[in-house]
Amino acid sequence: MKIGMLVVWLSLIIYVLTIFKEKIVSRKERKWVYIWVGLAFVLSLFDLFHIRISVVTTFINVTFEGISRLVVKL
Amino acid sequence: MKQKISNIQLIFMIANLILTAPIISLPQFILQQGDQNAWMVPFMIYPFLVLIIFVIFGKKNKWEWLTKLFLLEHKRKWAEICFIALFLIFTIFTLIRDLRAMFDFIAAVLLPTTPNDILMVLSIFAIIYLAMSGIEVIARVTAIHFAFLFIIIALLPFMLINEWHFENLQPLFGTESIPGFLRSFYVTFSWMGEFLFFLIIISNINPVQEVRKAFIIGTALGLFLIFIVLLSALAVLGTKMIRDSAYPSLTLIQQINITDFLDRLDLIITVTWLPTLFTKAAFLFYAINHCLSYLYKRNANKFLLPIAFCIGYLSVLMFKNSMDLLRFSFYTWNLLGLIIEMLLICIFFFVRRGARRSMEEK
Repeated sequence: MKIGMLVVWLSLIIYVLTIFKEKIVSRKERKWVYIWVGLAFVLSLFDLFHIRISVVTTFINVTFEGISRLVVKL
Repeated sequence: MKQKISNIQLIFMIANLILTAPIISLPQFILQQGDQNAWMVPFMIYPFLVLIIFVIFGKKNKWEWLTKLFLLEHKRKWAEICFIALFLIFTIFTLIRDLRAMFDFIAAVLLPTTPNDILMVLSIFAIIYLAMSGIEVIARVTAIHFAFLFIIIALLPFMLINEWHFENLQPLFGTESIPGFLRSFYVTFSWMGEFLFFLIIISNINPVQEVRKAFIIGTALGLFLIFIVLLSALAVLGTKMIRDSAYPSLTLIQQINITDFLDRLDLIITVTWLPTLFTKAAFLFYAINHCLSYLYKRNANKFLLPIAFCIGYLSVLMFKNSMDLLRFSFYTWNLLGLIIEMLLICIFFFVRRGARRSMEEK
């Protein structure tokens, strides 16, 4: 268990409790809170298990880097 | 009440945006491409940036339409939605790249034993506090910290005067240096084009009549400071040493030896520079929030904390290591950034036309 992850989870729990208790979001907006908090939670798990999501970066790198490499000095 | 920033604050923010993130390791790549003449690249880029500014803002005295751009309460137009969507992608990529560069720098130089995720969490807390406070707070904090950074960088050549080796700058000019110039120009342009971020807050600037002048001065200030860093790095370190250095700006300030006892100024200078990077990240978070609010049709400030954690984690997870980040920053971003910036300028013409039409109708 990473200390950074614990801080993130604690912050998210306090955030959710505050936002619902103070009625900062309406009933319709609650789904967005769940989506964003859920996404942050999933990404923290990815970090915990060292699952890199470099697929996007690799795809972009492979697509664009070739052209740049033709221009620049290696 | 709508938050407003002055043109002086805008100048500082533009210069800060252009300077702070590229200064981490971009000088290495610029100098690697342009060799001993690369210090002239800012002078080559400036006319192009001024041209873009003139193209964006058009004729003077007809700028009332700027106050009506990207307002949450107005009826949305398709051109504005396209612009905001592309702008959101641009901002997220830039933010992820800059955050990771910042974490890597802190982990390598300042806090080598601190885990990356803790650096991410603590930085996000500080940045999000600024971003949630609004554009006025970001502008004020930027102005304070950038003033210190400006003084330090302006004094840099004098502090390093005993380390200058003019032979590092020779041979000067020559036709054989043109390909190097062009390569340096190519690798630098997309980073400097990031001043376009300020189009999103254009309606927050008061008075709007001076906005074009503020953009021109802000880019000039940022490029002037980059010029000082490039010239000093070249003259002090030389191209060979710069090629082997991951953080040439840090290596440069480590060479400062004013007296026998004042030889560790690098930490003080780094501590002065880091807050400017935080304010840049805070502005980018503010821009993301503004884009999401526009798409969501109401203020999205309440969702910013989990969104910030998501972006923070993406900055850690999207790059396998520092080399992967450098590969993205130096090879991919040059072209990708350039394409996105050109597309943004093209779409902005449609946004401008729509805003002018609606002004005339009223």
